[in-house]
Amino acid sequence: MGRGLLALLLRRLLLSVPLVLAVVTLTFFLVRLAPGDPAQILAGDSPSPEFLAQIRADYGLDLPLWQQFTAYLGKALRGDFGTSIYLGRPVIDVILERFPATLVLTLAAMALASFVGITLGVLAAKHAGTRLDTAITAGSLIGYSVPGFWIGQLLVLFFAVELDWLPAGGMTSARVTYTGFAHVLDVAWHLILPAVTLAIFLLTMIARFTRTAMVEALQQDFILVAASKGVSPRGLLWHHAFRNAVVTTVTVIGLEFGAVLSGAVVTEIVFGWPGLGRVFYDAINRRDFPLLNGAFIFSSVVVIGANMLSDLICAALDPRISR
Amino acid sequence: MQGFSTTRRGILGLGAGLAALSDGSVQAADPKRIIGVIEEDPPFFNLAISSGISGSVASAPCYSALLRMNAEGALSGDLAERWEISPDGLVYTFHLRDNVQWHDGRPFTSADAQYSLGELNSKLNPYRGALKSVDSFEAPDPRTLILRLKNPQASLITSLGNFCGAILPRHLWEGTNPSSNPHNKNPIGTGPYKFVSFAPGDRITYAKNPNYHVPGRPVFDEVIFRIIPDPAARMAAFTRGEIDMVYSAALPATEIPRLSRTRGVALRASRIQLSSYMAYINLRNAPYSDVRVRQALMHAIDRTFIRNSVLPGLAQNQIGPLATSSPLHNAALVDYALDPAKANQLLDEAGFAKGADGMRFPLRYLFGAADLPARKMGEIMAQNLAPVGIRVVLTPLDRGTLIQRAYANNDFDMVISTFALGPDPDVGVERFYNSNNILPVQAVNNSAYRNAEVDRLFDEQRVQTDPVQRKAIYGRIQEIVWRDVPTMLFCTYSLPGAVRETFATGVFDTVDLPLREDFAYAQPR
Repeated sequence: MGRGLLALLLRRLLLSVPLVLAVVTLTFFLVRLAPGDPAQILAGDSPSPEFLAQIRADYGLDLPLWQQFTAYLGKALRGDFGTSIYLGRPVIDVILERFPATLVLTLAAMALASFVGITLGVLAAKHAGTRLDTAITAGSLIGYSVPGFWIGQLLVLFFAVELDWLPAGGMTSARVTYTGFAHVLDVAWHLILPAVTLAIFLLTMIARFTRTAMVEALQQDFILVAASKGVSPRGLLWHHAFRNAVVTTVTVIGLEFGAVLSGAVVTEIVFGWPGLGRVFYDAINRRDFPLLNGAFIFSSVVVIGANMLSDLICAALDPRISR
Repeated sequence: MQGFSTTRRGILGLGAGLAALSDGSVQAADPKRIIGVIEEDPPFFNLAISSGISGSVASAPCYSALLRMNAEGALSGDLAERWEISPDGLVYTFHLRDNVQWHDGRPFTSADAQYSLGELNSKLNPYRGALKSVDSFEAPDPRTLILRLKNPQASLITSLGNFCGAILPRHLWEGTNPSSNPHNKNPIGTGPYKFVSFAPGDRITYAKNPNYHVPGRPVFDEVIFRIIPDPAARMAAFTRGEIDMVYSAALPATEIPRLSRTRGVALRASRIQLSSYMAYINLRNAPYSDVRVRQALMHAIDRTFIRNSVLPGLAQNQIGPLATSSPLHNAALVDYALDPAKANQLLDEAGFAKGADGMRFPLRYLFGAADLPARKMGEIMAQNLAPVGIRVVLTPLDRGTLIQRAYANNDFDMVISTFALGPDPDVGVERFYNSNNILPVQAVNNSAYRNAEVDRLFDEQRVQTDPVQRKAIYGRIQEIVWRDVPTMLFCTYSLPGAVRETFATGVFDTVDLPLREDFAYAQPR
């Protein structure tokens, strides 16, 4: 790693510290602004007042808010994010158990979106102004505008219910327990529909940005020079133009990682995928403050990390960035 | 192999060798599984302290009670082999089964039943009122449990078989904090299935209890509950055969007509208990504190149309706080006629004149955002009430906000939900109308209805063992409540659960029972 890259990494790391602290503070107070008592949600119908009071005491919900915050902050700085009120388990355990499912889903979606999005973007740029370009651009606009939950439900109806090709939801089969490589296949099998659903939004973004960057790159003088030197059209497109455009694409992928994580919430609900997105959704509904705070902090760190990674990749691809 | 079809392999582009490899990796003998579905992670696996539906369903395979109640409401012994009630109705003696074991291998004794009923159910159970007549819970020997009552209580025996009778292991609960005991999420019972694992957001797994006290039962090796919050996803999984049973609260009412035409799917509705779509009217503030206003609502709202259009074929008219099918129902009650002119007259008499815009006052109607029938009922009600000058403000809220706003802060005019009416009104209905139950929690007397005569009659019916006398007391309670309209009783209904009969038999709707019988007796077809 060059000194420039190292300096960039350090700068980003230092900047992320106040950002994470701001996230901890803001989320703590913001989630408590919403009306709702986690003790009542947990206790259900007709609880006895003593039982409710006991639940509140168990989780310190009976203390003044500032006291709850200082206690939380003190523990959080030591890596203890408390106990989920609803699940009764350490927040960090719940998050670490559920995050791999989301990671698999988001990485699969990002890989799919990157491959298809870049291909479509390059194709559109190569054939700029033609019907193919118009079709890809229009398709991207539609894919960008259509809500993910709707696409997900349509895919389930068509591929799971009508055609009976793919499972309707879940991450693994319940009927049969697979082990070893069959387990991997089983997960892959369940992953197809949610990954496609989640990929569509990012795919359209990548396609559109790649197209724009490629059109711009193809108009640069160095392309003309390379062409006059006899570089093949394929070499011009991928080796010269795309290498310049790819920085934009990587930046988009990095920046949109947060959006993909948000999209995972909806996708995981539609497909019953047991990931971190469901943790968010459930924790909000249950006013499970410790779990919600923990999930916010964790995903903020992941998003900041992903942005840093994207910065580093961009710097490696284009040395001008780290100068 | 069942899981990977030829099409699947084809689409994945995997060769036969790969498929063979995956076949070889499957556990040698696949256990016989029955797969159900619930809509959320259960808050507790503990029927003694929580009545939440998901928790009740999820606890059911693990626990037993003293008695069991079948789909027709008949009681038989479960942990109790037999029982006697003294002629004066004050002493209940239960003779417990021998050789019953907890899932951790410890023997079950009367001390467990004594502790569970006396310390958990009677203090923490949402239906704890059902045990309030019991003065002492005694365990004179390991096989005998005696309940001594302060006064006779007609509904006690059904409660022990149903709502308020879950038996937990004393050795794991005594001296612990009931709200944070780890066995709330890791249940140890005496039921047909042992709890194996709970993966939040994904599934709950149970394995057959080889020491279950009914010989030859259960038949399935494993029970799995998948956790699928989205109703469309639940139904897609059921349609594809990924799950075998959906209990009634997890089955969207809109799917029932389609499922009733689906081959191999049986719909099973409860025969012993109904639920009610009921809205609390907030009696704390004007104009709803005026009985004439509430009676005007009854005359203006077309409950017949609501019943027939929102829950077609599933709902019954509810005349009075008890279901019309209850043996204690007062058949002499007369339904409020749909009469907007009468409603206008009552509202005028109450002194709420129409303004220049034709409106008298608003009605803030709160309902759960995911409760589709409640939304439709509100929309119809809005159309019904506009002509009489009441502007309905439809207010959909998520569960947390709804509980806080309606039940903790009492900031509503009308809030609707569904409520189980119970096998006996002393358990399921009294809680809505007795003034000692006005509390800032959900599913109690949230209207803040106070009527001294009703309170007194509820006390009287509890100690009345003569069925004729008791019915007469309930008749008067219903008369008063029906006249006072503290709640808007839209309808009673019984939603069925669905089961794939091509896959399993012996499973019926799972809301009204402690369910263990379902799981104990379910068997592959």
